[in-house]
Amino acid sequence: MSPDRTLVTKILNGNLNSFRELVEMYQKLVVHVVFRLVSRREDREEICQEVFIKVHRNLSGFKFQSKLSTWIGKIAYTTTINYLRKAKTPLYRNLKKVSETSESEDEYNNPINSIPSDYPSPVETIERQDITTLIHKKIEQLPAPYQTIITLYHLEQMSYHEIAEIMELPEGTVKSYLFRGRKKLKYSLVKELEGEEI
Amino acid sequence: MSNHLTEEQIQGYLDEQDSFDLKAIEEHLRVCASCQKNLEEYRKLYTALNTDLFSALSNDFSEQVVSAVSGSRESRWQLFESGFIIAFFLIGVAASLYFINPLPFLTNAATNIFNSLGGFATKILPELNGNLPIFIVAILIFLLVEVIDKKILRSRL
Repeated sequence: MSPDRTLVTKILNGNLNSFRELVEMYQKLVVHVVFRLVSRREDREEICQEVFIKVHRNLSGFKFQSKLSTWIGKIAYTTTINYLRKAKTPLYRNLKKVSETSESEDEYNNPINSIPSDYPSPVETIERQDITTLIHKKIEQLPAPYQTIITLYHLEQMSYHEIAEIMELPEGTVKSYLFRGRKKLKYSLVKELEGEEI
Repeated sequence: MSNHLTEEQIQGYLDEQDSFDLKAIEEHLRVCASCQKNLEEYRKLYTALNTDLFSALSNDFSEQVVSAVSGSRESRWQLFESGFIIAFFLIGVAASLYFINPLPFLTNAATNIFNSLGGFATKILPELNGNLPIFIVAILIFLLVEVIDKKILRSRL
C-alpha cells in the first residue's frame, strides 16, 4: 500500500494525527497555489484552512485515480478561483500590459532580432536577489492561470499533465501558457534592466 | 540550424524536453553568441522562478485546521444527537397515543388547569387594587429583558 493510501485510510478511520500529518505534508503546495493569487494577507491563511477542511470533508470520495497532491492542488485552485470571483478580481488581465512593451507583433514573434548582439547583459549588473523580487512582482501582473502554471511547474516541479489535471485545462494550453508567460517575464526583466542602465 | 533559436527552443532546452532537438540546440548555442546571451537571461529567469519567496503559514496552522475539523465533526454529532432525541420523543408520544386513550385524562387535566387559573384570577384581581396596567407593563419589561439576554447577549458568547 502506498504511503498516501495508508495515510488516507487512517484519516478515514478518524485518526486526526494522520490528518495533521497530511496538512503538514501538503501545506506548501496549498500555499503556492493560494498565496500566488490572493494578495490580501488577512484572507490567505483563512483560504488555506478552508482548502484543508474541504480536503477532510471530501476525502472519502477520493478514489486514487490521480495523485493525492494533484487532488489537493485542484481543491486549492478551485477554492482560490471561487474566492477571486467573489472578490470580483479579474482572472485574465491583458497579457501585453505585463511588460508594457512597445514592440511590434513581428518583434514579439521573433524577439531575438530585437536584441542587439553585442550589448553587455544588464542582467548581470544586479544581484540575483533583486532579480528574484522583480520577477515575482512581474508574475503578479500575469493572468491568474499563467501565475499558477508557472508556480506549479517551477516550485512544485509538477508535469504538464498534473498541472492540466489541477486546472482542468488541456495539456497543450498549459504548455503554451507556460512558454508565453516565461517569454513575457524575460522581456519584462530585460526591459526593466535596460531602463535601470540608462 | 539556421538563424537563431526561438524562445520556445531555448525554454525547451532549459526544461530538457525531449520534444525538442536538444542536440541541435546545443550545437547552435556553441557558435551563436546572441542565443547564448538569450539563454543566460533565461537561466537568470529560471533561477528567480525556482526561488520560493512565499511567507510561511503560522506555526500552529496544522493545529488550527485539526481543531476546526474536529469542531465541525463534534457539531455534526451534536446535531445528529439532538435529532435522535427529538425522534425518540416523538416516537414515544406516538406510541403512547396509540396504546393509551388519553382523551378523558387530557380533558380532565385541561378543565382542572382552567379552573385553577380562573380561581387565581378572581383572587388576584381585587388584590391589585386597580394597578393592573402597571402589573402588565412589569411583565412585559421582564419578558423583554429575557429576550434581549437570550437572543443578543448570550448568542455573542
